[in-house]
Formats: sequence, structure tokens, C-alpha cells
Amino acid sequence: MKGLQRISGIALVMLLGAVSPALAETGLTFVYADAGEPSTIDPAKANINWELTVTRNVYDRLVDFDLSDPSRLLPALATEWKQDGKTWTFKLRDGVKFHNGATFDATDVKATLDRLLKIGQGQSYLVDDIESVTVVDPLTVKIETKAPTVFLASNLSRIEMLSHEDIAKHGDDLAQAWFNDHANGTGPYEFVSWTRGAQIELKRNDKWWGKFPDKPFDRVIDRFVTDGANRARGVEGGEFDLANFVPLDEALRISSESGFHLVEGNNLWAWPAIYLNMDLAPTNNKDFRNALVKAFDYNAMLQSYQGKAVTPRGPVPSWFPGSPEKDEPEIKTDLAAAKAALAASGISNAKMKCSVPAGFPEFRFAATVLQSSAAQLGVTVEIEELPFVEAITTIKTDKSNCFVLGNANLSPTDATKFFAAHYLKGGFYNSGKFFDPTLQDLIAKLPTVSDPAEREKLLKQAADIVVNAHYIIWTARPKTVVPEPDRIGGYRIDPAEYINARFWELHSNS
Amino acid sequence: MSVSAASPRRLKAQPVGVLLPLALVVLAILVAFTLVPGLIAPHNPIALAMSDRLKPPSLLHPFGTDEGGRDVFSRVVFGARYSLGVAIAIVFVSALFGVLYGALSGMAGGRLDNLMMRIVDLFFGFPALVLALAIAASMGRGLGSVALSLSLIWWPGYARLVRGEVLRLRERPHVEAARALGVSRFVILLRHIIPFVVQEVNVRITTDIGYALVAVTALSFLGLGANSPTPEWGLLIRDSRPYFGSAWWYLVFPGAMIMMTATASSIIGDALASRRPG
Amino acid sequence: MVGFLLRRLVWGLLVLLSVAVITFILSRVVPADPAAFLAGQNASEATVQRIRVEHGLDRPLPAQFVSYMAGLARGDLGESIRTRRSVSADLAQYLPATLELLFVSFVFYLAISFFLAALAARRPGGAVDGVIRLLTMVGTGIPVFWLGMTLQFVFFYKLHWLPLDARFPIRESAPPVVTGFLLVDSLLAGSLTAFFGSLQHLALPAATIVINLLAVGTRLTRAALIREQDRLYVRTARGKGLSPRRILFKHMLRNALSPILTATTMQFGYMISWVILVEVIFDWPGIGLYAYQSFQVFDYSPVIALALVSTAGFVIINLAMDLIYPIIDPRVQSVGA
Repeated sequence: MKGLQRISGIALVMLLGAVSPALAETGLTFVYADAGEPSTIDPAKANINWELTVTRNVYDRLVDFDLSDPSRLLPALATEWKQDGKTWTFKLRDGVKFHNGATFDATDVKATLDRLLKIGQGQSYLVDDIESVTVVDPLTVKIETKAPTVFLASNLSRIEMLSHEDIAKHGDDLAQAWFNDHANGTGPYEFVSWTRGAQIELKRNDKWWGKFPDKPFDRVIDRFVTDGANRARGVEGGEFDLANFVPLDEALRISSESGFHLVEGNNLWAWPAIYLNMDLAPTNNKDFRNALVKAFDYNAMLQSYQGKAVTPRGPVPSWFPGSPEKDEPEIKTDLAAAKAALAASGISNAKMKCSVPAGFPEFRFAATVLQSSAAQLGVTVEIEELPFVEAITTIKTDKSNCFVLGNANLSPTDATKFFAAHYLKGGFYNSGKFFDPTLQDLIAKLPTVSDPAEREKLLKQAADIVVNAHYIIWTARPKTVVPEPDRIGGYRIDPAEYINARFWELHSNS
Repeated sequence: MSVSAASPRRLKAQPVGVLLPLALVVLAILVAFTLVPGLIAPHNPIALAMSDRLKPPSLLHPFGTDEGGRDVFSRVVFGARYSLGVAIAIVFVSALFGVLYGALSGMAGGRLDNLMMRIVDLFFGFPALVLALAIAASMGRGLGSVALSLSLIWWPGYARLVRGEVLRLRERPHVEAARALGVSRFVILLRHIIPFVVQEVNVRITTDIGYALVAVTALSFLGLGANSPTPEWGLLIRDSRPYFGSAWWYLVFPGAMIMMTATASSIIGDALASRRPG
Repeated sequence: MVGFLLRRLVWGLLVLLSVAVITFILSRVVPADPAAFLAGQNASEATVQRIRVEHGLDRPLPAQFVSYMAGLARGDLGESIRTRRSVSADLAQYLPATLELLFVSFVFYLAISFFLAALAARRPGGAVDGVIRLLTMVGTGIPVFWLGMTLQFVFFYKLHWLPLDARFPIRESAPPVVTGFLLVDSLLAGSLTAFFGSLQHLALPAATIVINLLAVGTRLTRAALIREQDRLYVRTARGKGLSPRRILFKHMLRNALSPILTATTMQFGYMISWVILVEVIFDWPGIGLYAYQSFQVFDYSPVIALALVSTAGFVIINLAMDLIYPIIDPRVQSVGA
């Protein structure tokens, strides 16, 4: 079957070459197996991997960053930017066009950001410190923030730019219905079609302002393959060129086969972290939580990751710009200390329930490790595996004591948004309802500080607060490991993403 | 869903004859698994043993180990009481309810019988899996809700079967004679009809256990049934999926177990069927 | 006759209605909140509440129920929260995939089942019969989801003969949608490669279903055929010198058809319900997968829709069988209960 495909592919290219010599197409198709089907491809609402797969490649953003050094921002739709207190000024790239031919300019930036903040979903939380957006001239935009923040440009590296015309003319609801399943961006790939239940098809935008590698893919098919085993087997058997979230054992096994190699990188902050419910007994007792943290078998996690993980010392990974991790004390299993903490808590024969989002074997495994570790303290842990929203609702409504979740931070340099979502009052992922007024203040203050060393100190203080409260059990911080076929090149792990593919960097090796 | 095979006396029980002892052996093994798993399983089914992670079958671990280093064979042994136990419970509960319902309906006759059978038709038409989804959604997931939904699906079969039999037997000469003599309907039911019905039902129960087992494991596979770390067979298969390329034994052996159990129940049911009169 | 049809139709509608009511109630008595899913992660509580109101999810249960039933009467199956489209639109897309799979499976199942049964019935108790009986017995016990995964492993992974999943070869363009049945649409578009591509992708899922059904079906068909063989008319025909094949097809089949069809009806009803398992394993974009994925995010309109479709299918098939019986088997006079 593969041979046949290759022959027909070559035949197609030759035919095209004979018929229209002006075409610079390669005729190459890339098949990506994603872990789910988008519910929407509206960049203002997309926030799960498989939705971002589409939006990241079809739209552009004002700013990009160097994947190997995230603190180094790179120009994208904006070529220059500077901060002056609460005012940021962005100069835009000239001559950029949307897929439908419309010109990109400052009005698009304003319309996009206004819309995003109004809708309030998706990645809007990354830029919710924006007060107002003003068009200075077609290639200059001024953004006022509520308080000075050094991170705005960096966070804008995650906000896709839409066309103000689309927003205006496709319905009164800010064109929400239209953007759900249509896309018109300036990006490297153009949206072609969406076959529900099966795949989304993209085609290369050869008028893109950016640079494609040699032998880029003209056609990208983003397939929805919900089962990890199917994704693994599909990559191994050649049906898919690349897949998202391939189970680790499969990834390692496949990469060691001939025809495949391993791509490794850092992007996960914890995989997973266990959130303890601060409002429900027995986890509302600090000593009890401490006991769990100390009893947890971190080695078991390391063994399950087969050398590709480390035990975190706090919320922020060491490779993140300005991370306090190296100064944090090591976290390791200490059963004696755990028992002492349990005794101090005065709780005995405790029972607790853990809700675990289904679909990620690592989450389930971590919960199992917690179960067996807690059993050594005489604590019974019951595990319930539920779909994501149900799982997080269960703990938020105090029907469970713990919640298991993998973490990643979508901002390349801003840790405060991550803290806000996970450790501040009202944060969506703050499932255990942690609250510390000092932490609230620290996080509010951090972005206003212009000295990086000072910010690092504040971040350490913030991390210490979370660590000392024993709110989270950080079970492991693994590297992301992806098997890439030798015939494909260019795949890199994005440190500020949940594992996605930048199709515009991929190329064929054959 | 089961349909019992009618076997005229002419059919020789040959293949069944060869397999029956095997099936009975399997049955004995399963009973042992269910009642005394601790005596049979060589290892702890729940304790983690990371250094033995995902090891292939060996003398020490006949079914290999899983992602936590746990012995798959031990997990299968302990799982019997969950998978098979729930299946048996479902079949017995539905049989009990269905038999009573069907008997009453058949004896009552007339309009009441008609109405009661219409209700049975209603349950018959209800798609099993959707009901399971709906019940899991409202009651919460777990073997309890699985048991409830499957029982609701299974009892109509027994009701229909028994009612049919009761109607048939009612017309028999000795029953008519008893009626003519003034014996109460209830006594007739008890002494003349139920004993014959029970034989039919027994056949069905035996084969149904196999089907129910497959259904229970299917629902666990979809995530509606047991929770970790319960070594329920369907859950084992679900857990095994991410490791399948690296650990085929994790998928194959629990599946083979389900298959063996269901086949055994089928064979025994068949044997019972060919043994009953007319 | 008309009276009978009418009564059955009314009854069928009643069944559908009860299914809708039961599923609706069960799905709404739920602890979690579809609005949270719709708002997406990272949305503030205010946003979630706004969305809750927008979709009428904050209204009391009876009010939601009434408006849902009213919608049903109009043929409006509601909106899917997950796909953000009307369920009817989704069904129009997903249902043909399931129907195509079921239909192809059933054709093969009927043919193979009959063939095997005839083979076995030829000489009951013989070697061939024994083997077939053994196979059906073993087949009864195979869990369909396990079978699917095993077939994938053997035929895709090890042998590379058949594709892993999906309906159509990934890198090729599917024929334009006319009926939603890829086999038909391929032929309509005049593309034999598309036709064979679809057939290739149908192979494993259909095989899974067929094997699963064969076990029970063959046993029943065999039993029915054997029973027929016993009959006087067959022995008479044999005595008259008619070839066994002629006897089989011209005479026995007609008479045995009745119980065979009963069994098939039940199988079909059973399959509509369990097709979710096959679709999940093979990423088959049918109504089972659609309902299952929606169920996972509390989007229940699709689940109710699946319930209605399965029940409707079951009712229709039962009705059809009731109509066909008297035609096939004149001994069956009146139909009912």
C-alpha cells in the first residue's frame, strides 16, 4: 500500500510538472494524527491541543519566540514592539494578506483583541490585562494595560489574528457561529475542509510572509484518532506521519526501530500534578496533605517514565526563563516524615476519593501510585476515572479530595498566568480551591517589575508559598518524547505548548 | 442478548460431548477464582512492583506483568469475582424478576397478559448501550450502574420465555384436568407448570451468563464500569491499550479469559439443552 | 391488514416516545454541567453562567423537557453542544457511516451464516458439523471489542494487508457526498479506486461484526435447517430424486426463513446498540462514535438521538418482519404478539 502511494504520488508530481511548469508545489501530503476532534476552530475559543493544532497553523500571531530560548522573542506579524509603563506599541509587518486576499493591518489587531476579550474564552486569560487597543496608523497599534506588564508581547505570541472584515460581516454575534467552523487567517496553511468525525484538511499558503523549509508539505491532513494505541500503531505502520500524545512505551519502542528517530523536548510543567482539595476533609488538614506529599512514591513515577523524567521541586520547571527551581529543596519520598506528619494531623483511618480525567494513562497511573503510597499510611484512596469536565467539577463541588492533571504553560515567559489559573482564587484549574492572600499580591505585582532578577525573587517566593502549603503533589516532570519517521524532518517540541505541530517547519526528507 | 438453540432429539451431542468436560473444568477453575482468589493467585494484584514493569510471560508471571509491575495472572484471578460475579448477579436477578413476571402474565391471561407483554416489548426495544450510558450518566459510573442497566435489559427475555412456556403448558391435558377439578391457579402454577419452566430457564441462564459477562466487560471497556485498580477483566483490556505494541500479553490474556468463560457457559448451556425432554 | 399496520405503527411511536422520555430524564439528572464544557477551560465563572443562560441550561427541568418534546414533534432533535450544530445535521452526516457498515456486515453475515449452516446441516453430527459447531461456540464468547483490536493487530500491524482505521484512505480525496454511503458515492463518481478503497476500510470493522454475529446466527440457522430436514416433505423430495441443493434452496429455505429472520431481527437490534464498540476501536465516524464522544462531555442530545434512531430501527425492522412472514410462510396466518 505504501509503495503504491509513493508511486501514485510521484506520478502526480510528474503530471503536474508536465501540465503546469510554473507550479512550485511539491505535491507532498502530511498526515497528522491528533488526539481528538475540535469542538470549534475559533481562535477566541480554542484551548485544547487539537483545536490549537488548526488555529496555530492557519493563523499568525504578532510575536513568535525562539523555541530553544523562549525568552528571545521574534518578530511575526509585528516587527517591533516596546513598552512604556502601561503602554505597549507594536509596529506591524507590511504587505501581509489573509487567505481571502484581504490586507492585514492594525484594524485587524484591534478587532481581534476586542473580540477576544469580549468573548472571554480560549486563551483570553493570557491577555486579560489589556485595557484598550488603539489604532495609531495602519501599521501601528497601541495597547494599554490595566497595570504595567512586561509580559504582554510574550503572551501575544499565543493570540491568533483575525480579519476585522470577517468579524464584521459574518453575523451580529461577533461572527462566533461563522468562526466555529470557518477560518481565514494569514498563516502558513489555509483551511480547506472539515469532514466531521474524520479529519480537517489544510493546504499550504505559498504567499505566506514567512519562510518554508525545502520540500514543505503542500497538503496537511489532521486526523482525529482518539485512542493512543491507534495513534502509535498508525505512526509505526506508516498510516500517519506524526501523532500527538503517543504513549511513552510505544514512543520509545517505535523510535528505536529502523526508519524512526526520537524527538525530545521540554514543555510539560508536571505530568501529572495531583491537586488536593483544601476545602474537604481530610485533605483540608495541612499536616495530612504534607503526609501525602512525603509518602508519595516518586521513584515509581520515574521508573514508569523510564529515565525520561525528573521529580519536580516546585511548580516551575528549571528550563523556564527565570525559574526558581534550582534553589528549591529536593522533593523525595520520606515515609518516616510522612508518618510523623500524619500523626501531627490527628487523622486516622482516613478515606479519600480522587477524580482522574480519563484518556491519559499517566494520570491514572499517578493516582494508582498515590493509592498504594497512601495505603502505607493507612489511608484509603478511591479512584474514579471520569471525562475531564466531569472530573474537575467533581472536585470543585467537593465530591472528591483530589484531582489529577497534567500541566503546561502556554506563555513562553510569563509564569503569572499559569499561577493565576492554578493557584489563585477563581483560577479555572485551581480545582482544590487554594487561596493565599500573599500569593495573590505577589502574582499581581510580578509583571509590573522591570528588573528580571527582582522578578525571579518574587517568583521564588510565590513558588515557596505553593510548595509549603502542600497543595500539590508534583508527581513527575517528563520530557516530551515523539517518534518521528526518518522520512519527515523539522519537528521540534514547543516549550510553551501542550505538544503540537508547527506544520510550517516540517519537511519531507525523501 | 441470547437466543437459546432449540435442539431436536435427533441431534447427536457429539462435539458438545467432547467439549463438555473441558467446559466443566473451566467452570471449576472459575469457581475457584471467584471464591478463593487468594489461594490461587501467586502475587498481589494491587501492589506496585515497578522493577517488574511490562515483563513478558514467564514461569514467574504466566500472563506477564502490567505497567505497575503487577502480575497479570493474579489480576485476572482476582478479577473473576468482579466480572463474572456481576454477570451472574445480573442474570440471576433478571431471571428471577423475569420468571415471576412472565409466569404471572401467562397465568393471568387476557387483557392483563396483553398489557404486561406490551411493557415487555417496550423494554425489548430499548437500546442496551444507550440505556447503560444514560444510567451511568445519572447514577455515576461503576459496576453498580452497569449491573442495573444490564438487568433492565435482560429481564424481558425471561419474561417472554416463561410466559410462552406457561401459555403452552396451560393447554396440557393434565393441567386442564386439574383446573376441571377445581385446583387453584396458584397451585397449578406451582406444581404443574413451574417445574417444566425451570428447566428451560436454567438452560437460558447458563448461556446468558456468558453473554452478560461479555456485556459487563464491554461497558467497563468503555469506561462506564469498574474503576482502577479493580482488576475487572474489561477494565484490564481498557488499561492495556496504550501498551499494546509493547505488551501484547496485557491485552490477550484477559480477553482470552473472557472468551473461555463465555464459551464454557455456552457449551454447558448447550449440554443442558440437549438433555432436557422434548 | 391496514388495521394491523396502524396498530403496530402507533405502538412503535409509543415506544419511541418512552425511549425519548426515559433517556432525556436520565441525561438531565446529572451532577455536571454542559455549560462548563461549552465555555471551555480557562473561562471565568461569569462566562460559564452567561453561556448557561444562552443555551437555556438554567431553566428548570420540566421547562427543558417540554421544549425538547415540542422540538421532537417538529422533527428537531436539538443542538449538539459539542459540535455546535443541530443534531439533525450531525445525524445526516454520521448515520450513513453506521448504516453502511451495518448493511455491508449484514449482507456478508447472512450469506456466510447460511452457507455454514447448510454445510453443517447436511450431515448433522458429522465432522464438518462438529467443526462448525465448535467454531460457533467459541465465537459466541469473543468480546467484540477484543476481537476488533486483535484483527487490527494481525491484519494491519503484522501483515500490513488492511488499514488501521477510518472509512477511506487518508491521503486520497473522498468522492463528493451524495448519499453518504461511500460505496455508492464512489460508484456515482465513477471512481473504482475510491470504491475499492472504501471496501478495504470496511473490511476489518465489518469482519469484526460478522464474526461476532456468526456465532449465534449460524447456530440458529443450522438448528432451523436441521429441523426442516427432518420434515416429511424433504424426505419425500429426496425420495423423488431431487438434488440436495435444489431441495435446500427451493424448499427448505423458504420454510426455515421464518426463524432465521427472527434471529436476524434480534441480531440487528443487538448490533445497532453495540456498534459503538466497533466504531470506537476503528475510529469509524458513525452515530455510535458521535454519541459516545458527546456523552463524554455531557452533551446528551446526541445520546438521546442515538437511542431514538436505534429504537426506530428496531421497530421498523420488526414491522418489516411482521409483514414479510405471511408472505414467506403461508402457515403463519395472523401476526401479532
